[in-house]
Amino acid sequence: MNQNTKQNQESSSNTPASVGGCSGGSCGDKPTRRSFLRTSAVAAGGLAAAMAALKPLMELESEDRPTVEKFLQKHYKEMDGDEMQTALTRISKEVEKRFDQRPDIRDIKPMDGVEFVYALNLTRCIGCRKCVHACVAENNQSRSPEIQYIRVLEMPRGTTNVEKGNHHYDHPTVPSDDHYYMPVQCHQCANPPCVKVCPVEATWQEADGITVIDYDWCIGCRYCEAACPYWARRFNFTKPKLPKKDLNPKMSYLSNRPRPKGVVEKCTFCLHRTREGKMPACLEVCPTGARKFGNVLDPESEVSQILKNNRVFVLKEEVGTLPRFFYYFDERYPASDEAKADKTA
Amino acid sequence: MSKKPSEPNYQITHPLDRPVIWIIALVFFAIAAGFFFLPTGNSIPIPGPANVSPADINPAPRFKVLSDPPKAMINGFERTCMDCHVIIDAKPHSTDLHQHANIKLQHGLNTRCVNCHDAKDRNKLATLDNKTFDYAQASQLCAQCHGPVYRQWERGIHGKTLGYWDTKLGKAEKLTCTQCHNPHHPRFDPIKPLPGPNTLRMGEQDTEDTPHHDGHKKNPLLLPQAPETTDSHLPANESKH
Repeated sequence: MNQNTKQNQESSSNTPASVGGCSGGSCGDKPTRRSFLRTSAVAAGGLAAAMAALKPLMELESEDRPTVEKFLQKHYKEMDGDEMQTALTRISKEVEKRFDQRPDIRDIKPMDGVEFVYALNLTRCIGCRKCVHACVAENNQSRSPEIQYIRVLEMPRGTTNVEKGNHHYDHPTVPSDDHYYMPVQCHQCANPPCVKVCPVEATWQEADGITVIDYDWCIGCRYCEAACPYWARRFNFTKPKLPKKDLNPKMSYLSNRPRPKGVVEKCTFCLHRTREGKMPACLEVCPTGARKFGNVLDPESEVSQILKNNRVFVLKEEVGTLPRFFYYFDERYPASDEAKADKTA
Repeated sequence: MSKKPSEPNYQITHPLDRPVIWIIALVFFAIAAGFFFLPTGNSIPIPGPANVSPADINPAPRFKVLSDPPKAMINGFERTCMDCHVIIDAKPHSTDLHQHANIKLQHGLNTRCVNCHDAKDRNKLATLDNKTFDYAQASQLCAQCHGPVYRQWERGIHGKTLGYWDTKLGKAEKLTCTQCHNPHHPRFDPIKPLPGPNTLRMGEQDTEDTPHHDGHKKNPLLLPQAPETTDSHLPANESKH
C-alpha cells in the first residue's frame, strides 16, 4: 500500500521531467511515437532512480520513521522547558510502545560547583569485566550486536604500551599472574577532540565536564568516533537490540535513553545517577574498589585525595586531550604480589 | 555555410533509436527494481547477547557486617561466641584449629587466633596491646598492622564507597575492611571473568604471525563465523587457513 502511494507521488513529481524530456527530439505540437517512447524512457529511468533512493525508508519499522514532532525538534541547547517536556513526552511514548513499560525519563542538568573526575587503581583491578556488564545493564546498550563503553585491556607486566593489550583474554580465572588490567572508557576530556570535529554540534561538553550526545541531533557521520584517541565512542550500525525485560526505566535525555540506529553513543559517567549524587554503575559493581569517582572541586573528596596523594597518570597525555580519567597505582604492590613485582623489575 | 555539412549528422540515427540503448536502459531499470524489491540487508552474522546473570553484576558488598556480639545458629539455637567459650578455654599460642574447621587461615604471618580475637571475651576483638573492639569496629583492629592502608582507606584512596558521592544528597556508605576482605584470608580469590567482547574489532589482532600468538579464542577476526548462541565459552573454530 505504501509502495503504491510512493509510486504515485513519484510519477506525479516526474511529470515536469517528462515535459522537459521532449526538448531533445521533435518537440512539436503533436507527440510522435518516437518522442513518446523517449519521454517515457526518461520517466521510467527517473522513477527507478527515485525508487532506489527511497528504498531505505521501506526498511524502517513504523516506529522508526521520523515523525513531524521529531523532525521539528530543536537542538538540545535551544529547547526551553516546555519544548523539552514535549520531547520527553514523545520519547516516553516511544519507549513505552517499544518496551511495554513507562520510563522515568528526565533531563538532568549539571550541578553547580561540580566537576567530575574518575580515578582507577591499576594495582587493584583484576580484570573481571563486571564493570563492563554493569555498564551495559545500566545504560540500555544494545545487547546484540554488543555495544560496550568499557574495554578491559590485559597488559603484560612491565609496560604501559596499550598496543600490547589484549581485549579477548579468556582465562578460567583472573587475575593472570603475568598481567595487569587496564579498563578504558570515555575520559571526559577537558579538551575533547570528538566535540571539535562534530559538524552539527550534536556532542558537547557540559559544565560538570561530561561530554554528552544529543541522539536526536546526531547524523551518524562518525567523525567523533575517528577523532577519539581512546576509542571510547560506539556507533549503532544496526537497530540496538535490547530485550524488554532488560530495560532500565530510570533514564535521562542525554545518557541512557534507548538510542536509534545510526547514532553514536558513549560513556557519560552515568550522568542520570551521578548528577543526583550517586555513584556510577561501574564503580558500584567493582569487587576490588579499584574505581573512584567524585567531585574534584571538593578538596575532601576521594578523587581529590587521590590526585593529591598518589602518583597518577593519564592515558596518551601527549595528545593534549586533558582527560578527567586518571590511573594510579598503590605505592607498593600488595605483599602477596611482591614476588611478582620483583620478578618484573 | 558552416552548418550545412553537419546537417546530415543529425539525421543519421538518434541514440534512442538504437536497440542497444534500450537494452542498456532495460538492464539499468532491472537493477534499480532489484534494489527496490530485493532485501538489501547485509548478511553479517550478529553474535547473540553475552551470557551474564544479574547475580554476576550485583553491587552489594561481598560480606555482611557481623552483629555485636556475633551470632550463629548452632543446633537450631542462636548462640554467641561466649556461649561456648565461657567453658572452652583459649589456647593463646595454638595455631591449629580443631573446631571451626571451615576457617581457612591464610593471613600471612598472622597465624594465631588471639592476635585479633580477644582471649578472654570471644565476643570482642582485641589488639596486641589489649584494647578491645566490637566486631563493627574491626577496621581499627586491622589498623594496628596495616597502618598505611588504613590511612589511605580513611581518605578514601583505598577501599570502596557505595551510596552517594555527594553527602548533601544522601549517605555515603564507606565499606569497612571486612565487608570486602575475609579477615581469615584477606587476599581475594581469583574469580572467573565475565565474557569478553564479541563485536569489538580493535587493538593488536592475534594472528598466526603475531609474536604473542596464544590462540586468543575470542578474537572476532579469527572467527570464520561469529557464534550464534549466547554461550560465550564456545570454542572458536580452530580450522584456520
